[in-house]
Amino acid sequence: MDCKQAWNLMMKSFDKEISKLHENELNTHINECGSCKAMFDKLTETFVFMETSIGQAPADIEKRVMTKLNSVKQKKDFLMPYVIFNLIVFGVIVVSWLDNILKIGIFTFAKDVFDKLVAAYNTSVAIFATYRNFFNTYFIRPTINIAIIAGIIYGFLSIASFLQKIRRRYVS
Amino acid sequence: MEDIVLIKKCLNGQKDAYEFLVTKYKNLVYSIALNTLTNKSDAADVTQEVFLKAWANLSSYNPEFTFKTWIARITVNHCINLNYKSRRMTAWDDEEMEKITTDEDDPEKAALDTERRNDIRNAIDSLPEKYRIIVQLYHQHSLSYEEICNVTGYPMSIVKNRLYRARKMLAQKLTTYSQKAVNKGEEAWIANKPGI
Repeated sequence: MDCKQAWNLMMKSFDKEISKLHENELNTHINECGSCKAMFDKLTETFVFMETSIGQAPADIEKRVMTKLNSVKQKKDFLMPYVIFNLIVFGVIVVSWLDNILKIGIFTFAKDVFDKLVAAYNTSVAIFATYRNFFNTYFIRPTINIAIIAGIIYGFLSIASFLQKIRRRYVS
Repeated sequence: MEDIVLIKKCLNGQKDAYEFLVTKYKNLVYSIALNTLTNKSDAADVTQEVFLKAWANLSSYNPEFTFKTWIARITVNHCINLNYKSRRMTAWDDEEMEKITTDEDDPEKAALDTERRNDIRNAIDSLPEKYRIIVQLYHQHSLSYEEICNVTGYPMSIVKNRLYRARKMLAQKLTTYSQKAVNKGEEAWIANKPGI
């Protein structure tokens, strides 16, 4: 066995996937080859060192995590939907109260804006329908008509050419 | 109690169940963080952040994978993101190292052990991050190849290839260190030898 084969067996050994036969072969090589033995020993020592040097987390980690979790939950409770709904209702009441006092006409203004938005939407729908009709009338339909006429002409020409070929074959 | 049972309890709003999961996996998370970050305080903060992140995303946990793999994946991604923001050197748990290296009976042997272990630490630290993470997940945290694929998101061929290369790099580094140590020893011997 050469050193390259021994290295591959070492890898299998570190993966704990080495057969008994290969393990014996590896041991035989290692006992004969100083550099492979040194490398194998060093890597074994490294991996044992890694296994045994797992850090211990601070004892208060659970406490820290759970305290933080509880505080996050409280924040979420504050944003519960019913609170938001209540705030909206409260806001509308305040605005209508101010509107009554200051005579701004904010609701009339809001209704005007809403009506204008609806009208703009309807206009855009109408424009779009007109454009679609125009497109159908002046582009799609003529294109289809031209394609049909071209198809018919091509068909006639093909039949004529076919008939001509037959005539040449049998007349001559 | 099985992890999946604890997770279901958590999803039903039983926060106490999460504390069991934190206790079970805190050393894994802390250890991965410690291997990637600069000091113990940062690693503790990251451990806390990872568990909070996991809690926030618990509803998206896929029971096809183990919780161990899932939490390890969150930790690795979190640490890589932190490292991209600021390049850091890795840290080791010095108290744990002290426990391993202390040999009260033979101070000279203890000093040599410490030196060898420092060489090992340096060799591991000198690996590029993409290799170091895989070698640590496999040899330090005992994750299988399949689990490493799930943690890192790499296909099996890449994981195997990187672990192979990482071991080769480690072997080369350690050989270089030991050669340097031999040369240093020879120089010291020559310097101390009378008449030379």
